[in-house]
Amino acid sequence: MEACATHGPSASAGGRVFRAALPPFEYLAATSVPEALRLLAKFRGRAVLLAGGTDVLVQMRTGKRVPEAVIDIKRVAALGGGVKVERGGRIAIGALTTLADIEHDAKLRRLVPLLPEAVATMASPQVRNRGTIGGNLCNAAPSADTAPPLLALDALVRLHTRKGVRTMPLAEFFTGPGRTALGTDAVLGAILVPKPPRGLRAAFRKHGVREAMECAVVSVAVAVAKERGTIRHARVVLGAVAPTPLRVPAAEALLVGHPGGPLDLLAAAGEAADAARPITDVRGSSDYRRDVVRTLVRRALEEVAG
Amino acid sequence: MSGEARRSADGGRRTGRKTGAARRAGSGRRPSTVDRRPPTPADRAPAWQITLSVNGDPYRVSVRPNRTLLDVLREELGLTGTKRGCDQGECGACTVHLDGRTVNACLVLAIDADGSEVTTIEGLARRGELHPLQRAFVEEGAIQCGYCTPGMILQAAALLRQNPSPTSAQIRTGMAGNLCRCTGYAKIVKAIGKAAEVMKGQRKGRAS
Repeated sequence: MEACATHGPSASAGGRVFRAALPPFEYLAATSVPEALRLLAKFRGRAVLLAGGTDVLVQMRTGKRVPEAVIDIKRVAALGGGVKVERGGRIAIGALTTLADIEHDAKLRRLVPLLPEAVATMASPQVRNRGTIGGNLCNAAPSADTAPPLLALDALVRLHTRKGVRTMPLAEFFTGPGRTALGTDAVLGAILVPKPPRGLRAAFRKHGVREAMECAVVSVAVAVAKERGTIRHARVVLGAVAPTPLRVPAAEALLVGHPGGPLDLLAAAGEAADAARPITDVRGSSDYRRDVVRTLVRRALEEVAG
Repeated sequence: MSGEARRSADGGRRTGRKTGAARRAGSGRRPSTVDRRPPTPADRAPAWQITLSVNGDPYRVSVRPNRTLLDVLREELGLTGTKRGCDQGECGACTVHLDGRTVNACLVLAIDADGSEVTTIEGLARRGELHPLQRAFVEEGAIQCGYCTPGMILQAAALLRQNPSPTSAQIRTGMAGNLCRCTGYAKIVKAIGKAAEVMKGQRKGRAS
């Protein structure tokens, strides 16, 4: 997982990859949201929240993160709750829901298969058994695999702050590589997926150097809904090609109102490639990534809009 | 779970001890690794008392927060069948079952395993009989240096519990988090397929 945590060459590519023990820290187990918020405020940025730990512990071991305290939120009931379908069809996913539980959840597979399909490509079974969806979003790697599908589904996030609970679009949650709107004094409580538009078809594509345990070189999520042969709703989202996961409104605008023929899809794929701002790193050059964006977006759109 | 964890008064100098019904004695631990950073307040973090069940045996261990489940299994409990590979969740050598799910023991804080049930490679054989997966790995030559084998076998056991008759592609996907650097994967995939057949036969035998 760790290699996916940065926007650039991973630390393991350049030297210190192993230390025998985790550095010492103070361990605090929060049992409620107010307690977690109080502890975060007490340590003022010198603490890290621990859920599944599959990113945090690796960052601590490689020296990328040296927190004074680790605040374990795994047993805060308000952050769990698994997957629930609310009245009206909105889906609420507790931040502590493990990636494995999302991968196998029958409701998600029926209502929004895009998300479990994307999650199934992540890391390894062992990591998915432990890692959480909230952790993947809060780690805010530009290549986080849960982000493009959730953005394509117009997901919202519910944040707990000292001033209360607030909900914001996931699109506003990511502020940079490894940075989110949470700052150092808020907790992600749940992910909310609105009821998808009627007839929505969606696809996720990911390209990596290898198939297992690999973070995306480029990932793509698209979602399209047609009415009487015309596209009425379109989402095109890219991962790993900008400081944050990136929605491409220009590509979406080229699709809406059109039948979704080969030229429409090609034009949208071109817009997506233009919008990408990829870096060059050990996993691929900027030009290569842009080219992969064009191909993956076209293929994903062919699957759902053709 | 962590509600049971208590800070211990003795600063965590005791080695892991089995409680009550334990049968085997836990072996000694190695001296802990020297940390060369300047001391911070976290260095004086108190030790916690945790209890966990490993292969059915109850243990009470005193741990500092920065000890992982892998550290405790190998160094406190002397269960060295679980291997330390990358220590970053990439290689799967430290795979164990934690409350029925496979995890990388290097990515689980020992404190977090408080109150849990752990199964390691030492707990797979029954009454001196190798588990069908262990036997299949031996018979198919799916072992060379053997370092990845305990993790491979525990992950394979979880895979076969979820999917008793996996295709070879499903085996490869299910084993994606376990690296082998010498045998190669062909024999490992074959051994897991063979064990699946054997285990199906055993279930049929029991049912009839």
